[in-house]
Amino acid sequence: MDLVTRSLAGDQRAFAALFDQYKNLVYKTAYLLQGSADDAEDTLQEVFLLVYRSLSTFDPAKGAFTTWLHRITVNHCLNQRRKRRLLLLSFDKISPNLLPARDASLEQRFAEEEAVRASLNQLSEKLRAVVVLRYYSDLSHLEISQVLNIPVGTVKSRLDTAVRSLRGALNKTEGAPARTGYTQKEAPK
Amino acid sequence: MNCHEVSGMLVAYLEGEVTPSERAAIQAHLAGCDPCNWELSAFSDLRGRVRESLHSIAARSASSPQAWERLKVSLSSKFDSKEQKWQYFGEKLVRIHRRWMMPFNWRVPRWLPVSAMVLLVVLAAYALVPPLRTAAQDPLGIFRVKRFATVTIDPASIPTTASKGDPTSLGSFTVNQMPSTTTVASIKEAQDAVGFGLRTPKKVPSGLEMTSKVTVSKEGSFSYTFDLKKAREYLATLGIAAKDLPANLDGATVKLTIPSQVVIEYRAPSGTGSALMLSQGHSPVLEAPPGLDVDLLRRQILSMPGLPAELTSQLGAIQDWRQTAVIPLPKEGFTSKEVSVDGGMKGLSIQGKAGDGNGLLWEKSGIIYGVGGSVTPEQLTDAANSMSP
Repeated sequence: MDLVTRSLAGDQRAFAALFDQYKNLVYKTAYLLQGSADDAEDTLQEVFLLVYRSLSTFDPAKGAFTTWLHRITVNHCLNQRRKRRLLLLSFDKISPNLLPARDASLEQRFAEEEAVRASLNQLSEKLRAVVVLRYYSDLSHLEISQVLNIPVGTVKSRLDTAVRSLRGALNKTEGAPARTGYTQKEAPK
Repeated sequence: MNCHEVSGMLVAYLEGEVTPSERAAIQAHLAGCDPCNWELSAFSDLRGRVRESLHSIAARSASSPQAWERLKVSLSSKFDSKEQKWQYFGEKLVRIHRRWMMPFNWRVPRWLPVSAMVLLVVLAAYALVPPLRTAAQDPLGIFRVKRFATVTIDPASIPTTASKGDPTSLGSFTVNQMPSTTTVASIKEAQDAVGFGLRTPKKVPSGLEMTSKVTVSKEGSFSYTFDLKKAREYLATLGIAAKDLPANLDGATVKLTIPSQVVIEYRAPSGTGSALMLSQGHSPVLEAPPGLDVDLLRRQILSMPGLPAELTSQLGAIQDWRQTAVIPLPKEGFTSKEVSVDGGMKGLSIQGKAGDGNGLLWEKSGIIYGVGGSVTPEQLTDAANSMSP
């Protein structure tokens, strides 16, 4: 029997193992969506309380357990953000002056993360959710559509909008040209 | 397809979300169009950057090692939501009391709690302060709590990277025995479970009554084994150069035992309004390995460049280091003062901002008492002064 079935049968050890197996999925997804370790910690608790209470409603025929878990997690994060009217994603920032001296590659990596973080910050929470589910959770468009309960076509268009916005934001930060140097009129047919 | 059409489909193309005929048309266009190829590689590069950064940010984040324990407490509650809230509050107090080095800071300590910074503070607390040689009734390396001292910590002085630390940042953490928490219906039952005489206050704020819920937390014990290489690397990320730490710290195991505790709850029969919690239990015991020269360790930790001077000076000022539990308090929002309670015992009163509650800790005859809750400091003192038998 798998962990879900055993948990449903009231096996507490199985639920503990289920928590252990999926806590990173929930915590890290929440951290990327909420940007705060404290909020992610609360989300982890709330999500597993919900999982515990509604495990019986999980239907394997409708999709994988991880898809279901992602849905609960993302919904919780989006609801929390709405409640708190948080507008900014503020990952615990890394101060470059705290890094060991002369570690240029590390500094570069953090600068890169900071740039990506800042550009993610400019996305709406809906777009950010698609980006995190696609590029962190590695979910397919179909799975994302199941998680967010939207059509696959909407996932596709949100991802397109998100990637283009991220590009615009990153180019702005880095001072790169926004387009390839030709205008649409001049574009070869 | 022209550039405009192709450009509009490049993200979907990279995602593999185009039909075979669209794919063929895009590929045919790309074969002869440099700008679109440039654009394709820009999008591809961007996806890689986003993917890599998200994974890297996520890799450095981790949930609290106490997360399961916290969840278990919530799951074990069989009460309605209001009751559940109180249960949670009570359990939280138990947990806080259990982690005796930081009681009564309900809301704030999440930037601090299980981070390695706490372990550093605790370690520093025991190692930094000059040993009180005459008080060495216990064998060297065994520490019990008889009194309390606070150190105020400015969250701003804690490197932000510290919040990413977890208990495994300096070594490895083992739960030898997980403290189990149960609820019993009477003081007598709790007394039988923990094996020591329980005391209760005669004077509690008017309107509050002892509830039928008495929480018993059975003994727990934890070990921490230092890994010198890991510790140095972690401390370096905080800007602390720790090259002088003694070599025998590597592999040294510190054991913390938290004896059984009992929490009694007082509140209005309606379940609303203020509440008072009383906890009592034997002192936690911290055991350092025999070979570890804590005196030397103290000097070396003191000399670590990068440790906030404000912290080291406060730790340095604590007398009677073997028997003093150090309670880190955030600089903002909390005040503390020494008080005399329960027949002349030295207690520590901690006052939070409105809504954060107040607390009072003291030791008497080997038992550590704590009262706290959403009542005034005076009401806590009254309760402490009316303890019987």
